[in-house]
Amino acid sequence: MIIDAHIHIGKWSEVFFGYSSTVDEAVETMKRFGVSAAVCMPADATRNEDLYNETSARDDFRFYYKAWINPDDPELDGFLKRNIDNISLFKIHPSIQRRRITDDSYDKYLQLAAEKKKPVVVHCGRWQDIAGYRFPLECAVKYPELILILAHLGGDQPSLYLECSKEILKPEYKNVYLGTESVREFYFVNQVVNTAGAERIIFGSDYNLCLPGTFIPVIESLKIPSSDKELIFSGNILRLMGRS
Amino acid sequence: MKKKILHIAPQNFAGMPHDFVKMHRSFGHESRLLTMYRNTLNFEEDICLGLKLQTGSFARKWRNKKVDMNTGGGLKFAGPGNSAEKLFFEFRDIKNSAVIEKAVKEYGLLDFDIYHFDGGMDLYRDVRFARRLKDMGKKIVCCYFGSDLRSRGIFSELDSISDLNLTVEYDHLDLYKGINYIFFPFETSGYEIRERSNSAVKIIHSPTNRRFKGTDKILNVIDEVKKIRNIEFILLENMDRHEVLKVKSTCDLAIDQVGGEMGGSGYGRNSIENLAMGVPTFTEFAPDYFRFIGENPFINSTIGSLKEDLLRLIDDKRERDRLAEFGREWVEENHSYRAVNRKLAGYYEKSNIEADE
Repeated sequence: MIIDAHIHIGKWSEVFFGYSSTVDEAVETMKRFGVSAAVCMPADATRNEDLYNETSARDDFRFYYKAWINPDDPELDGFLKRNIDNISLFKIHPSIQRRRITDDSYDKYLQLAAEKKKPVVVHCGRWQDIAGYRFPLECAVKYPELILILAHLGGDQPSLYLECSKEILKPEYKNVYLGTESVREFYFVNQVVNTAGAERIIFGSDYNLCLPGTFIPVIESLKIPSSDKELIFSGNILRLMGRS
Repeated sequence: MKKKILHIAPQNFAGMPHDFVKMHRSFGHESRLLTMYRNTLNFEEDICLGLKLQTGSFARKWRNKKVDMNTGGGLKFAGPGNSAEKLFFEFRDIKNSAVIEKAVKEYGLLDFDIYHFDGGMDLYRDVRFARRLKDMGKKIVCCYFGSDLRSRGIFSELDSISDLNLTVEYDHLDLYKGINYIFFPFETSGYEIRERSNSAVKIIHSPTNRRFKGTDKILNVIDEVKKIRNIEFILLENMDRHEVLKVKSTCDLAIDQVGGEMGGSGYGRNSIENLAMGVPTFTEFAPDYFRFIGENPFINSTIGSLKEDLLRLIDDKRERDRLAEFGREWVEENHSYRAVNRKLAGYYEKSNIEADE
């Protein structure tokens, strides 16, 4: 079974030129690529409430919901309060929000996530001053119960994610996982899996910006047992969401 | 539809007005740059009226006094401070008009579709050229590059007939509500990332103004770093820009401005040249500015963190290589003609100025 653990639906701000996609398109795309379920979150110009209501109402495809945590969103606290039991994960995007995950404004959400055992997916990218993987690792030390999934394997570039896969082996980072979304360098993904272990890797595509069909072959081509591939494709994310 | 776009500027400041012109041309528009005064820094000229800029000590003192008078916050308005100044500008308009009107005829300056007033200044102090254009139904854009808006201020009459106002400076957004930010265009194709195998990490600092760039403080930090790391430090000043570029391309790291008097003012063309050549660059941003720019490859340092940041990069070749690649990509994504033209086309559209990308 394949679960795409990292998809966006809705409208982006100018960061992606106002591009927009619908829930119908997401369902069609997921099915076309053999994806059985998806963990969805809004694009940055879409309301949590709108996407949550629309995806919850679908009975033709299984969506899990990942709440977009923008501390400046006046609706966020109310949304979380009303729906926390049905929200599976949180998403924090330091580059778009233009602040580190260690910024005080994220504190209460990290505390909530740790308390409610909601894994937090953190965008990690090349902008090291803001979205470097070392900042979520600081949070892992501050909140030992917090489950963190570092998106793009911790940096979306081999030089960053190879380093990150070694770093998370330290005992203080035992609750840190790596998401594969939009990483295309299959040879290095193999190295990451060998270093960190398949039980720490979670498959995602970064749809609606990318297609699952681009990245499923990266996991399929890994030189690991098929039981480990199963963990990456679905086992790990289901376990973290308490659904296995 | 391809358009005819004329840029009018007092000078080709830092080559930026001409970069806009070259950008328009690269997308098939017909574009010219008309400057009033010749620039002294070896930047390319197009049509230059060669008007005489008063450079004597009295004129310098007068300009400095105007800047000092205008150091407070808020939007400033340019204009004569007293009747003597008013008389001077009226006389200057009369004196310059023969040269200006000759150029208008010779170069068909009324035949363009869109007019960019770079620096927000008309050929005449009484804005008569821009008013004439407006009466003809032409589109007017004012673009600001630095001290024009910051110290001198806007010409209210030109501002009132402008269809679109642009700036390449972040701090202008606070001064002039509603002005539109645009990255300055930069042609990346002439810049290459050279293979570097320096035995000691080579660091360059090439200030145009020591006080603004924090040079003295930077030199102190470099002295400390030299005691514990094998580095080669190059300080370049008052050198032809083509020579500076040659040297910069051989360097592993560059320091633009850190700890300067205009602290936190980010980056300019100097830094973009570094990044285009794959030279990771230290500079200081005010926190708001840094957030505004978004994802970027700069090493944002203060004078307090510069030593530690330098040591980190000196010791980590892989990180330098990563930043070199990221820097080049970032310049192409944000400052390339393609990127800036796309942004400008969006602004044109919102302001009902017709021009294809």
